[in-house]
Amino acid sequence: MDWAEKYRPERLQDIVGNTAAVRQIFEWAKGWTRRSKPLLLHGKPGTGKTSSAHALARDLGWEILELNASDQRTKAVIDRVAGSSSTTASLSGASRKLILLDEADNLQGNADRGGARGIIDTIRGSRQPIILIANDLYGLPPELRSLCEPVRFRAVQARSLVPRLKFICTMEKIRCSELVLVQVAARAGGDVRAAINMLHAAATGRESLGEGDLLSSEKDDRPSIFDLITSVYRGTDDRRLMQEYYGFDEPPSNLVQWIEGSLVHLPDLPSRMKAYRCLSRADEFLGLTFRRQYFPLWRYASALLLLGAMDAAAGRGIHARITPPSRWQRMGTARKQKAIRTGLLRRLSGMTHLPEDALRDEYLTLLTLLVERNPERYADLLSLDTDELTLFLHDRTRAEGVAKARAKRESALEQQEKKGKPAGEPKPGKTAAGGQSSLF
Amino acid sequence: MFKAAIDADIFREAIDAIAALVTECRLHADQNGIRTRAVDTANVAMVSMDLKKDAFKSFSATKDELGIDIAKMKNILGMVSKGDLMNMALPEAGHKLEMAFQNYKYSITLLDVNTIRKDPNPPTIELPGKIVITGEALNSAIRAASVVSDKIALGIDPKAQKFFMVAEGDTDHIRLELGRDELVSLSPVEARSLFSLDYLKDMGKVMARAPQVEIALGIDHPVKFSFPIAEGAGRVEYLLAPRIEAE
Repeated sequence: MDWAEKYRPERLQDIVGNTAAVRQIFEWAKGWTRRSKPLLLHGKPGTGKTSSAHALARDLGWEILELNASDQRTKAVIDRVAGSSSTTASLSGASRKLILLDEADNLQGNADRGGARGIIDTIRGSRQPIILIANDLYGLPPELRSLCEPVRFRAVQARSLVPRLKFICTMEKIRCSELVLVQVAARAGGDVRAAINMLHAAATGRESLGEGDLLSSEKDDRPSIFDLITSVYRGTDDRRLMQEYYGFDEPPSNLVQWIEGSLVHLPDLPSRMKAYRCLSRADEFLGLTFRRQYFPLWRYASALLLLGAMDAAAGRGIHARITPPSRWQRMGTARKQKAIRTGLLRRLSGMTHLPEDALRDEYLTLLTLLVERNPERYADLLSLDTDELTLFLHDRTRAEGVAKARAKRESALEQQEKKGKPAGEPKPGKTAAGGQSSLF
Repeated sequence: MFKAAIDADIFREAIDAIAALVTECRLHADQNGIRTRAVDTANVAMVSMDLKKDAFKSFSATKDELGIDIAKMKNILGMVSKGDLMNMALPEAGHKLEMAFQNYKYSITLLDVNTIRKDPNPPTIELPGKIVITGEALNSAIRAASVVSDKIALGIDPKAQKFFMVAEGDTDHIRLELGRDELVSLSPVEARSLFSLDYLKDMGKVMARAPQVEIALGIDHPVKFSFPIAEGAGRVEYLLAPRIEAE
């Protein structure tokens, strides 16, 4: 059996670390009335959130009803299970029933449709204590967050973890030096479950643990692109850096953007030049890879990129926030603009019986001048919306004003039409012919 | 090992009683018969069903635990006609239950019992107020109440020697009182608890077929309904947690 499960704390006093949080939970439970807010336990995995909730119920003799990510959690299911459970007394005669909504920040799209709404309704109508659990406080909708009293679970300090690990070793009859336990605790990064799993993995099939036995079980921390860029600027061993890069899933074509985006943080021109020279050489390899479809060439590109940039940075570190390359953001915006323009041209081409590229090459300037002179009139004639008007006017606020006025006029016109004319007659202004004849 | 033959109607009655609350359960078999106890997903209601050896035409079993998909079983039993004999067989350490009736032979894969919720402990609660009533009268009362509300109060008025049911909706109200004459028996102890009609409706449909239902009540305590099935060779018990009344 899984040690993390086997040695799950059963009482609140057995929870490792987070004493303040545990006390807060206990006080809340002791003084619970129907007006109490539900608790929201949040923090990293393996810090004792779920264990605390279960231990609390056990300590106080409460019944517990848990809904977690393995249950389907649509609004209907939450209403039926948590909703009806939170308005009834315990079946077994326990004084209270604790409704535990685990992984509350993990409601998955369609499978849990309306889940957050269901949780909010349950909280509002509940006559039993409720505890929500989330890894990320901000993964919850704000209206749900504001209904709860947050309790923060922090990463557990290595030194408070060691006694627990020692206890487990004693129970499992494994001889283990204190030093190894300290190492396990430190490597787990505050995650108790990870620490116990690590110990379990290292101890399987052994009767004693020495220092060498631990190597194979480092906590698998996925390096992020931010870590990689930090290492580039801080400087490290060449081989180490490449190793770090191979650890994750980002093609050098993306990496080149990230590094290029960060080069502005290099303090002086000569080192920037040095970095750009390597980058451009790397880019040649990227081009070659693409043309030849010969992917082993990637390794030259990534080596040039990383080692070149590291050489240029010369271990000075990076002192600004690393952000995704601004070029990507600009490309996103440009794509949106392009889509608006293409849509507009297609529509105008239909209205004027002119080919799209003729419109674009010969008439767009003319049109822009016309629209700028009298935006109201042309917005009407060409039925331009806010985005399209902005394209001509380069002034969003003005475009919005024009579009709003136009919408108002149109709805007034429609009202009039409804009153005055019988239905079925074509509306004026909507016919292409009217717009077309007066255009040029 | 499990091998039995039973009147399909009786078996359907037993399965329907469980299906009112849960979609899967652990069915325990031993040489004396079969039994199960299960709680619904919201921990609000519990069903216990006990079917003795005598209810079967033939029965032999060793101690075993069967993971039954109740919803599937209910659909299969929808196929049988009145008077059909159902033959069931499960080999030693087998995972497929053979169910045969008429010319049909189903082979049903059982659920892994470890994936089904553990049997709940039998609650030890004192419910002093006792009433015995016909199943039909009980079901009609539940249906009448569900017209105006989603909850119903059940209670005993010891002075008037009456069993009462009150349902209050947002705008409407219904009260039904039954005296000793209309009941089979009544113990005059004060009792009153509020229950969700959602659950009672499903239970009511099953109980409507029972000649006599024994109701046990307390003050803001669960209610227990128990009634015989299979002409007394089996018994079903429902336990339903009370609603907490609004302040």
